[in-house]
Amino acid sequence: MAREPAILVLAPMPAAPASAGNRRRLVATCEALARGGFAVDLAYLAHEDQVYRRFGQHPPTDFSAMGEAFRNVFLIEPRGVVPLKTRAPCFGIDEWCPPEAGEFVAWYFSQYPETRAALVNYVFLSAALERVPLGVLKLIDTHDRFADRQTQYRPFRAEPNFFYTDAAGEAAGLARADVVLAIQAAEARHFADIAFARVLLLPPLFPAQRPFAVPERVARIGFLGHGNDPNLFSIGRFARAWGADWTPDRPELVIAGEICRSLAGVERPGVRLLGYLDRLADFYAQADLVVAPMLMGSGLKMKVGEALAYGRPVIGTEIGLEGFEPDHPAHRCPDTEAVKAAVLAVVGDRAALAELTAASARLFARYATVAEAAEAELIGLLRFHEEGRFIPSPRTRETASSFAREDGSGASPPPCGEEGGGGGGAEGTAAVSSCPTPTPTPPRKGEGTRAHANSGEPIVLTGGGLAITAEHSPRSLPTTDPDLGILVATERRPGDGSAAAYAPERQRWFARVSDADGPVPRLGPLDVALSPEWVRTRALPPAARTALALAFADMAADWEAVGRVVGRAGDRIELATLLPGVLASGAHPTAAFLIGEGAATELRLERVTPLQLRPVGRYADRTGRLPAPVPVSLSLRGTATPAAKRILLLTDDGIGRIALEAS
Amino acid sequence: MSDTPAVPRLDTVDPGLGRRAALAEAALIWEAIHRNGVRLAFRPEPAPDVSVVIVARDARHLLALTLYRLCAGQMLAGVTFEVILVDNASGPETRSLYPRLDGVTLIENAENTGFGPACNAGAERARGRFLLFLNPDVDLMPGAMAAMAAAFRDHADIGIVGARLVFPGGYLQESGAGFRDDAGLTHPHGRGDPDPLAPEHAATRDVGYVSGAVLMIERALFQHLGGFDPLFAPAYYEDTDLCLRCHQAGRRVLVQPRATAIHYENATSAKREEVEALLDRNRALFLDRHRENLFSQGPQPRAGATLDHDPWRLRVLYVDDRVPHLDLGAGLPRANAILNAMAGLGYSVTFFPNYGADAEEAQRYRDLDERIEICHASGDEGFSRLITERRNHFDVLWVSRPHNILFVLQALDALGLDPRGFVRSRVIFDSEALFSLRDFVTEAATGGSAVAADLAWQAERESRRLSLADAVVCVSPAEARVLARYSACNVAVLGHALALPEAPSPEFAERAGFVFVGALGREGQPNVDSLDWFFENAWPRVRAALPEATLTVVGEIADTIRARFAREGVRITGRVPRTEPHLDAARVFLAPTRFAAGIPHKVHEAVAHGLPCLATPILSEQLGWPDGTGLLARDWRDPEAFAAALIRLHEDAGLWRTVRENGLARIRAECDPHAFRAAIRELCEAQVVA
Repeated sequence: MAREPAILVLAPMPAAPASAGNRRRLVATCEALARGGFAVDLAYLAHEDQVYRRFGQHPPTDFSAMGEAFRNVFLIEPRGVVPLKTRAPCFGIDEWCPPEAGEFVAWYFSQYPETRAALVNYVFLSAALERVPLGVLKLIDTHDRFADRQTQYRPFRAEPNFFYTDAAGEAAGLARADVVLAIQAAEARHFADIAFARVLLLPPLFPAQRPFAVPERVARIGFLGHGNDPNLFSIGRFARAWGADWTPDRPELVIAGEICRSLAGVERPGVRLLGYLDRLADFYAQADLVVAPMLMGSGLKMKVGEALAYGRPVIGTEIGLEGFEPDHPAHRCPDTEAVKAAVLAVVGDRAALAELTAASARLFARYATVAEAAEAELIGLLRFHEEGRFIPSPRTRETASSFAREDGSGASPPPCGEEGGGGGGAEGTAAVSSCPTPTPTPPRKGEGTRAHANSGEPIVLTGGGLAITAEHSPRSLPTTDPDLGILVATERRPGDGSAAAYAPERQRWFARVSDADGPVPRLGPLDVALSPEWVRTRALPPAARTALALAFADMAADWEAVGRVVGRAGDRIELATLLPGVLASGAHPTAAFLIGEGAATELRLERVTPLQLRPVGRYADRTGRLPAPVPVSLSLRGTATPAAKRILLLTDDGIGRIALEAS
Repeated sequence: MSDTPAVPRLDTVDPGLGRRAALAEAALIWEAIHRNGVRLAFRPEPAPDVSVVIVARDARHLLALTLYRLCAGQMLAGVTFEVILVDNASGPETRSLYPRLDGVTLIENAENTGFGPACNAGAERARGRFLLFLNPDVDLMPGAMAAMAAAFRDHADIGIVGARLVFPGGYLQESGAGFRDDAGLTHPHGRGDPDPLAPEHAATRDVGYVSGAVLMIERALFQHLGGFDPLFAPAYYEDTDLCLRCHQAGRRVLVQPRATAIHYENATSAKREEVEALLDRNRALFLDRHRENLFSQGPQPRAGATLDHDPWRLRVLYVDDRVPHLDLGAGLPRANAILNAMAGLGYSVTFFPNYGADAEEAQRYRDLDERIEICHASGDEGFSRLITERRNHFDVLWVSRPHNILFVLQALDALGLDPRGFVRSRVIFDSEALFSLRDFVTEAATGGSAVAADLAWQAERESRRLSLADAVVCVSPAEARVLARYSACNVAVLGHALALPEAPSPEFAERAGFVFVGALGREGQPNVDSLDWFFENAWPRVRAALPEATLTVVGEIADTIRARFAREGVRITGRVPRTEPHLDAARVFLAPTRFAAGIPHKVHEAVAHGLPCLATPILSEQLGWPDGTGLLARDWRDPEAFAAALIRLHEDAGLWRTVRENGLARIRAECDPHAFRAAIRELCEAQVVA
């Protein structure tokens, strides 16, 4: 049997765990490709990992699960900092696409020349398509419309979040693709207006999990979501409205998902937070009716599709059900108050509830028909291209690609479900699974050599009351281990055009308190990202923290400076030094350790006072990603070690080292 | 420290007096219209840009004044408009005016339907793209209507635009308004300020709401929002509610102070007690609807703090010698480009001129973005007041030139403020160049010698406090290298931004003569020195070879210097509104500079305009351009060679074209406005990284 054709999928978020709508969209698209008979190579540009770390959180990324779901998985760590905010009207189209993305794409196609299609998630990564070789079909899964997206935040006086650009930027990004995938019809029309590329509607297909049934009674209404701003505004407002005059005869509102972390204070009688649930089924078992009271946002709400797939009646705003082409009034509420009124209207009215359930079932059936047809069209197009018969649409720029024009017929690909679907053979249409089936392929040149060489027995180092275990595996999700302790550091290996850097495995260090005597093991010049344990959670006892600091004292620093002790009184130390400008103003969670020859002490940074004159001394930005240094005086408190030579100054995703100079 | 120059103030009188005078004038207008048989005939407009909707309820005199001014100003409005007058059951005296109106769509209600419903009725008859709701007691200043309409074109996502309202007598009534969660709720900006031209209320900005006395809205948006809500009838808070609903529809509300209107306010209203009762009732209705939207989300406005409704704007305080106009030279055109780029990036910029404001205050926006707040040049006292009132307001402090850096640091010191504590994010010092080096060169050029040790001492003194800044900006890599030698600071480079003209400028044959551009206001300036040398040493040689040659000297010039430079073949224009016509007419740009620091903006500008330049090596080195790229460089110490090159560049078409094309290519590469904007973003926007 011929090997499955392959497609490269590049995404700035991991596919597992599927804890957010964009991840679920990514999974859904990959599932569609797998159903169509394509082997998926997933490349994760570790944008989200960086963001989680910058905000003092463990990145929820599961390489083990991804490894099981895809043919190959790659990890691309950018070296620089993705700018998360701009005070300009919007971002430039390529500001979120680090050069490592394009470099990886070029490397990938040098290793996997038989792959004939590349799909990037989000238009802001479109610059990576510039490195795709001629003859390879270029696709963008848009997820959302990003031109002028910042205006959605204006009604809420909220700071624009995530990516947004202008119409010219979005059009320029889309122009890099042969095929643009839109998540819903209105956006497809918009992209068709501004893009030269062929635009396909690809709503995610939600395989039915449970048939619709009219609930016996509505005891609980549910909302499940990720903690993004649109969700927070919308459910926050709805929860306040729901709780304001709640009485026990009304259903309880239950909220689940990562959003619960950001909804502190919203709980009250009638409103309950369930936290993060691993299984969607657990949530839908509890919610008799699902609400989608969205007030902002575009794209398509995955939670609505999932609720329908689980056979739950849905009530929501017009924005909440955008893309589902709703016609029932309960699916087109103008605001949260109307959602509340619509819920109350069906709570005590069995006939109305039945009618709503039927309307939801009809909506889902209509949607599924469209989604299936769209999926078949995409697969048909990809197959057509695979077979060398794809003709770029007349809209496609003549110079865009030189591939697959051999027949010169100028004909469009066949309608969905005809040649395209059938042409791929049985596996193209019959393979319906929840995840793409992994297909083992032999490793290519240099692929995974380092990963495999290093996978194996963990390295355990003990001493100073500490046991440190280094594990090299794709097991990236757990942040604690019953045997190994807590995760304290993860190896950093920015993409550099080598297979080893792209292997989705990193060395990870766990630490736990032990009764081991002897000196603290020194780990040498590691290049690591530190866990929130250092600055935020501080789960280890103080003695173990200082021992750990000593163990990691020689790790690569992001910035290094020379400091001069200018004052000392009791347990206070005043230090003149240089700090990256961004740390000189505002509040930043920090941890500081004074490192001596064989011991360390934890210090408390009490104040940063800007100085007006620059102390003499060197400063180095080892990453090239930090703002320029400014002179400051650091007020530290702690038991000083007389022989101490340096200070580690740790921030959420920053490691600084200050070499002490005699005053 | 700077002196404290006198700040010009209008001689205004309090609103009570002003209103009495205005009412008397309105009565005279009323009388004149009737007694002289005047008809207020509005020109019919088949497709008006604006539909002016006026709701009248008695107050005949002021209504007559309003319509008379509108009618008389129709030719000067700058846009075409129609007038729709809705009468809300006025008495017969007022209605006696209506037969004297031509070209007005008149709706006469038998009963008072209230302000909002009457406006809605008027809007239904409107044909313009914009609706301008105008109270019947308003006098629009020239160009106001066009300025309001222009705001929709010049700024993105605008829904509603309001005007700067002034009381009769000149006190400021309001320049936009905002909300605070207090008993007052609504807070008109600048109300009661005796100076209607106060800088903080003269810049275009986003606001919470604008008064319905003069409110322009896109007709389509008005329809989409369902018009004014009749809930608030008969009056009050319907305009505020409309603005809030405009925000909620994702559109901005702007005050456009270029559009000024005298609003006689309340002159048409009923008794005060009735007004208060209506205000109380409607405030409660308004809060019922909008409290959560206003006060339960987003950062909350604080008393006395920002006037701007957009809490996410980057706020910049920029200090330089004087308001930077393009025709001033001495680094000011570059400051002009920086300020305009910042405004274009959406930053909220406050500019403080340390030494001098515009001689003609009304022209201060002639080449600066209308969103920039341009303070009075109020010296030490004014600056202290500014930084005291606006602590914790600015994100970025940008100070240009060493003496201003010292001035700002001393002013902050005096108030016990640290520059980094005063701003929330970044401190940028724009040194442009090492000024002590210029002084050194000047001394060497004029006195024949200079002491190197003095340079080292001066340079250290000039640069020692630069180290506290997040960035110290130089105008060229060459200047940055010099500065880095003397100071351990964060050196960055920001050059010039020049957009090439859209149409090619005239060719060789269409031009003749020489042109010099630069400020010649004071003896001792490098420009004055350069022309003194030129007239003494080079010009006679040029005239001898080219007896018909002319030299045009453009720029501000002192009378004594003008008299000294006047001679045959030399035309001295003084300051001109635009230099382009002169650049397009001449064949060679003259820059005989003997000493200066920084990149000469005027040379960049001339070369960008397709005009080759003859310059001294000091300029070509600062530009980093080889001979023959945009310019020919000749040493002033060899006047013969300087004059010969000038003559050759004027006469040799082949050479002229080569120098011009090379220069244009270089400008394209080095002065790209997009790169300039990106560099400003890099300097001003701090990223959360660690």
